[in-house]
Amino acid sequence: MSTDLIGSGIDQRTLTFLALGGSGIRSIEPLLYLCAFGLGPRQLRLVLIDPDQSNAAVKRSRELIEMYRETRDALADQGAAGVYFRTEVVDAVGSALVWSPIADDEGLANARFGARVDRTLMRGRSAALGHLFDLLNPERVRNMDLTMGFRGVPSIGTVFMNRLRDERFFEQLLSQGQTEADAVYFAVGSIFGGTGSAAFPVVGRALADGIKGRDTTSDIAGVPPQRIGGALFLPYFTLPAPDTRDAPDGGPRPETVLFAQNAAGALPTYLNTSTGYGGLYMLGDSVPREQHRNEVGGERQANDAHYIELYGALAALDFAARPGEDASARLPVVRATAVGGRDPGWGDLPLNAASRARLVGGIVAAHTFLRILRPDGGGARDLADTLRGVTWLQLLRLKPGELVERTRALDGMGGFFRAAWTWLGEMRRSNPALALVPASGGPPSSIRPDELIEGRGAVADGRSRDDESVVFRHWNDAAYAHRGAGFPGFMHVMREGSERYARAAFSENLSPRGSA
Amino acid sequence: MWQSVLHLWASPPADVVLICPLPIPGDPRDFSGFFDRGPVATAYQWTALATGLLVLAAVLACYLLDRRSLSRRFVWRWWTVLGAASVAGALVPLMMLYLVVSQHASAGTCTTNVLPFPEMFPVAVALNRALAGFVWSALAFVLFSLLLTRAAGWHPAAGGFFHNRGCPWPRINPFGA
Repeated sequence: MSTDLIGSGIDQRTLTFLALGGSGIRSIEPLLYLCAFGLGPRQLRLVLIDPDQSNAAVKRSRELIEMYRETRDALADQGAAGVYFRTEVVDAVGSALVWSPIADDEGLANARFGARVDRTLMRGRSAALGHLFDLLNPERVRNMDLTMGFRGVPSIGTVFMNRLRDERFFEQLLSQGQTEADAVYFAVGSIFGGTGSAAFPVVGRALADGIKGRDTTSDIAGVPPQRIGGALFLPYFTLPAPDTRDAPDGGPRPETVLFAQNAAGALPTYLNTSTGYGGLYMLGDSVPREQHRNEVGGERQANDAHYIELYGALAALDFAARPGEDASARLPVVRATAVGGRDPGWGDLPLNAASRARLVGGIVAAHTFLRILRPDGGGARDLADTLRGVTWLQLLRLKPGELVERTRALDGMGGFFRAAWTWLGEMRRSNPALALVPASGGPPSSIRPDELIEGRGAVADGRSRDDESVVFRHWNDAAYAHRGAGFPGFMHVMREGSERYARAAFSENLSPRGSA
Repeated sequence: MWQSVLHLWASPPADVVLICPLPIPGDPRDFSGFFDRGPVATAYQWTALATGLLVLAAVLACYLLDRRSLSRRFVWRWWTVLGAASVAGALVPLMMLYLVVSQHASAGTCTTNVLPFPEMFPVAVALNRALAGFVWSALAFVLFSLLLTRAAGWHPAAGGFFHNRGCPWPRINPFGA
């Protein structure tokens, strides 16, 4: 599989990305970085679904989305948002950003499962229903605090997920699907946990079915299945043994021993029946990683980044690049990609050469930016002096002081690129590692441009030691084509020049494994 | 005019005095000999040409043999090459006057030896030309740098002149950021 994110027309399309549960939401971070590097669609509509609105993944995603938007707004004010940060990120849910399937009950003081389904009312003529409920749900499940998530019990989540069909934002998503012929919908979630497993089948079905009209409203047609895709995370992590058997609320904890069983039980549903999805991407790792902590929801549930999350984001972009599946194909079309070795690297990314060049170039641009324009993400002293007389700046007819004045845009990019650098470092230190950049926690300034991409070995094979002035040489060449273009031209120069350097310095990383 | 451009204050001298050989005992001493104008002028002309070529080569090497773009490092490189070119520019006239073009007395100007006998060119005059060469080389290096970065530095095909067109202007301070 070799995705084309440059020439496929993805930059003209809308992708609605439904992040389901903690794992799905963690895919938003790499997705935003890919969008920032110019590999995203024209518009990205985000729908985050999680009852646990305080967990670390939600908090992190909120911060990043806000940072991305502010940066893009600042660039748009300068007429420079068409290159990096070209993707418009729209919060489809509303200002809350995250849709919680239990939000309708927030007025209720009691957040336990039994209370939220009105177990106490299942008496008299409904007593049989109450017995059935008790039979299916042991007491520790009935007493689960739902604000801490569904914790590997998807059957609970499914009870609430269908409320999605009643949401105004969901109606709007479906309506937009009617007017935008090549808009695609993509859901990402785990198949072995709680929220993702509960939401994945409901979301697919709801998107494909549409909404039945009621007394005063008319039907809203569903989205054709070939335009609905999803990535399912197979068990890619395990949890350490908890200190206590039960969670703090007395409810169950996610149990590692059930992950594979849950996945194996759910897979036939997606492979053999119609769940609404036209395309399915199965993502997993043969050696699941053990997380550092066994936390149930909340801010302490902060797991390290995993490369599978990047693959989830790439799957969404691949689906948007196609766009969707061939209407005449037998649906669902199931895709998988293989990873060579224990720690995946550049050769394992399912991207074609042009898309890789864009990604490597983006990393070069971010690194150069973080070495010169916003050193390590902070403010740059003497930036005007540093850039005095630089050819690309002269060709753009920008004075160093004029570039420095774009503080908001530069600060935004600096902050976002720094976050990307931190994430790449996390991925590198992770186990299994994603070996893209040798950023093991040090600042960008600690790595030379020629060392930037894993797998090159610049010093060992006697190649040159570069500094940013070598990268600027390529920026100069790019600037010749954008003479007099001012600050918007700067963004083009940064991208095209960095890609030129990437091609010159890291040519071996630009081909998928086996095609080099 | 041209001589001033090529040699600054040290234009080729017309009559460089030399001390004539000692006379035969009993004859009067003759102090009024002169160097042959021809070889002196030739040495000066070659000096001008060689210095010009040397400075041009230094400018080309400075800009074209560098694989980077303008940075503090390049400004330092520019000053270093300028210094080296100036020193070389000072050595060229000495080389021409003492090693390349042999100097000799003008025939018949010494009564004690009417032949064009070889003679060591006066060190003071040569050093004066060397000092002029030092200054000339520095000025020419700056001038050639400015001209080439302005004339050729507008197009990427000009290589280093394009990538470092900001030096020497507006980037000339090697101690800047």
